[in-house]
Amino acid sequence: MTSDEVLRLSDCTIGAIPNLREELLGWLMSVGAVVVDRSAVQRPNTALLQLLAAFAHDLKAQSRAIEWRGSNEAFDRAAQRLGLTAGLGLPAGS
Amino acid sequence: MGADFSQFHDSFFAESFEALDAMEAALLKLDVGAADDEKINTIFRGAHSMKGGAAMLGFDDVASFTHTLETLLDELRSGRMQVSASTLDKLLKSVDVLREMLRAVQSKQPIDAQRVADVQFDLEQIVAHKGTGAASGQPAGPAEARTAEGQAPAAVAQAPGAAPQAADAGTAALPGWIIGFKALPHLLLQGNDPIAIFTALKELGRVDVVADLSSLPSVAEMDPQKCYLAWQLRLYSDCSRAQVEEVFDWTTGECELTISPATAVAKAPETASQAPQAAEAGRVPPEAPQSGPEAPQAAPEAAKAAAEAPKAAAEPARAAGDSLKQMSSEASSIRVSIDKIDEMINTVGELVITQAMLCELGRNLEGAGADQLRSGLIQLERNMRQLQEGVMRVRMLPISVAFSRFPRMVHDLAQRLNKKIELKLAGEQTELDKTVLEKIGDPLVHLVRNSIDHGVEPPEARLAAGKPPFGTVTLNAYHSGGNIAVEVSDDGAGLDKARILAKARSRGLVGANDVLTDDQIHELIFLPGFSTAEKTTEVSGRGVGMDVVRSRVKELGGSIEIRTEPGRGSRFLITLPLTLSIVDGQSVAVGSESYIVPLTSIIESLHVGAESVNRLYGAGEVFSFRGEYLPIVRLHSLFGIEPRTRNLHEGLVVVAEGDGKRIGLFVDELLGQQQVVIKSMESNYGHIEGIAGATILGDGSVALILDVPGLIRAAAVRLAA
Repeated sequence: MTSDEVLRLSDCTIGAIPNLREELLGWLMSVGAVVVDRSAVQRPNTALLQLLAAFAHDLKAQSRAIEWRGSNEAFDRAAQRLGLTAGLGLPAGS
Repeated sequence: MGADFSQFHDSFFAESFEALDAMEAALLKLDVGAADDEKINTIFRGAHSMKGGAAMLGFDDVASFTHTLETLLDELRSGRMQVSASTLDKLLKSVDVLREMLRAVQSKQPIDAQRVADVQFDLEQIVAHKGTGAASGQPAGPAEARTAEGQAPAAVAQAPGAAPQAADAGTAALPGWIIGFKALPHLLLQGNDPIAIFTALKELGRVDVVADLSSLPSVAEMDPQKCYLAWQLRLYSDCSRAQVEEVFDWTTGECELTISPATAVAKAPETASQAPQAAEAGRVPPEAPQSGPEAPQAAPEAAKAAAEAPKAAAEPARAAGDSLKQMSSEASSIRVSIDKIDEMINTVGELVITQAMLCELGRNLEGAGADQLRSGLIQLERNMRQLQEGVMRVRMLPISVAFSRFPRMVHDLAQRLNKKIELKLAGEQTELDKTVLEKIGDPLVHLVRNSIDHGVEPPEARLAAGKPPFGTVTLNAYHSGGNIAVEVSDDGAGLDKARILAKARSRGLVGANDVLTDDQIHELIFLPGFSTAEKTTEVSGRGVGMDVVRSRVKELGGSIEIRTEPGRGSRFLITLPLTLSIVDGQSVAVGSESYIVPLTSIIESLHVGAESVNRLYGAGEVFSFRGEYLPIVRLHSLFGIEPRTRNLHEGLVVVAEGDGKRIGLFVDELLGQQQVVIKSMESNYGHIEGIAGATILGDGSVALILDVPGLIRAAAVRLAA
């Protein structure tokens, strides 16, 4: 994976979360910032945000970060509800 | 949860279906735009109980859906939203979806996830857009017209241009609660989602959230379906502890929860000093709350929560137990499997036969003690009757069980057909045998559908006919003799005799020159495939209804009659036996055989002199009875038995009635009246027209139980042949 690639989040039901984890593990093996597009997430849930928080933390440990693409009010609101806005590195105003 | 709750599934489903019926009934009585706390509370309680039970038993989809529904209902209950027509429609759909979900879960079939998601989304949208009118159909309220979801209500309410800090200071001054919420690992897999819970909490007031990620492992180490997070929440609200607990009620057994008054924590300096330590415990620094003042107070709760953890860990099992205890203790009744009741009824049936045998033996007994024995047997007979009636009552259910589906059905059909219809229910507490009740549901649905589709006219036609625009469909049940009568009537146009006759002639069912009485014309609608509907609709018109209705009613040992008046409406009267397993019967002798005629069918028994009998072409033997000629059916001839006599004046004629028709049954003599247990013959011999079943008499012999309507039909066929 290169920095040109974008991780597009879409189906995020709890059943699909293990697959996303596998994908994130791949991204952890790459270099540079990870561009994540959250615009297609329809029903953000805690499992997704928790996984992304762990992902963000692992990236930070590698001195890397998530670069968020697209906008998604529901996603940002869910992160805010869970107190994970900063942990995910989402823009403060989102 | 390691405990096996499968033994509670049946009662959960039964109670949930009942709750849905109650919710639906209350929804249909809700007035759009009007606040009706009692009805909304009824609906809320139904959803709440179902949610608790579903979550406890691991029916996560149901729990999740009911949680969303409950959130909307809470908005209505608190008066923050009003019931609009579209909201009401969505709530009714929710009841439908829940019913479908429960049926699917019960039968271990997959749930229609897309349909569930669609309706759930609609419910969320209504709550999300409350006050905007976008989803609820309500006009937008000025204060909330531009409410951003993330904003605290206090901030929205402030005047434009006011500093956010001022609002923060205002809300910070509010009393409230510090909530420690640590999800147990399986919380997410149970269908619970803290996002929904915190959203619900936000309805009570502003919420500041601090996430504790100290237990969150790396991506490589984590099981992503488990929850590793804990939260400290500061709720600014003057709500009660019970209201806060209610929000988390859903997660009973799935989390460790502590709720402390915010002010009490603020006064405790020693706990405040632990704040930095608790915050440092996290792998990721806890996110700063939206307003600072309470954050240091919130953190110590983590330590407090940790101290209480062992106690909280013991809570899940206890909470589950308490919930189940509540489920069973709330009702003053117990649920018993119908199999157990039927087994008991069968045993009582055998006892009735044994008791009849003993009575028979006792009758002929001579010698010392015979009188005392007979006296005891009379007492036994009395007690047996009481026992039998008591046991049969266990199987009886109010007909409201069958009626309860109609308010919704009428509501939906009227809407679909653009008709205005009022449904009136009467005699809902009339009790009927459970099996009869279950089987009468579909015929009633056919009749009510027909009344709405064909009977009641559109509003404009009614107005033109000088009628009120609202048509009325009435369902009424009452006792009639030893039977139960159920009427379905409407004030619509009535049956169109000319059209029925024309249709019957066009299909060759009636000859071009045949002259039919009104009753005969009405009877035509019971012919298979008969329909006068000009077009087949989703509702009716395929002609598969009325013949099925009649055959179902007949299968139950009942009958159906029509009364109709042009322009005034129609009335369908269904007469049903109280029970299917025991009948009060009159024993009659024919040759060496005994037969049982149900007492409810008998009008009278009489000697018929030769002078009263005539032979009519096409009608066989008839005799004059109270001004009308009734056909005589000689039972010996029908059953191929050698009788004691063939002379009518030497035997007896039993006048019996069925399906609104009368007949004279010629028998040798009357024996006695007794209760008999009906033993089905259909499983071994198939359906035999004129025979309802068999029974064992006191002397051990077998007697056939006559089905009078069937005999009348059989006689008609024989005469026609």
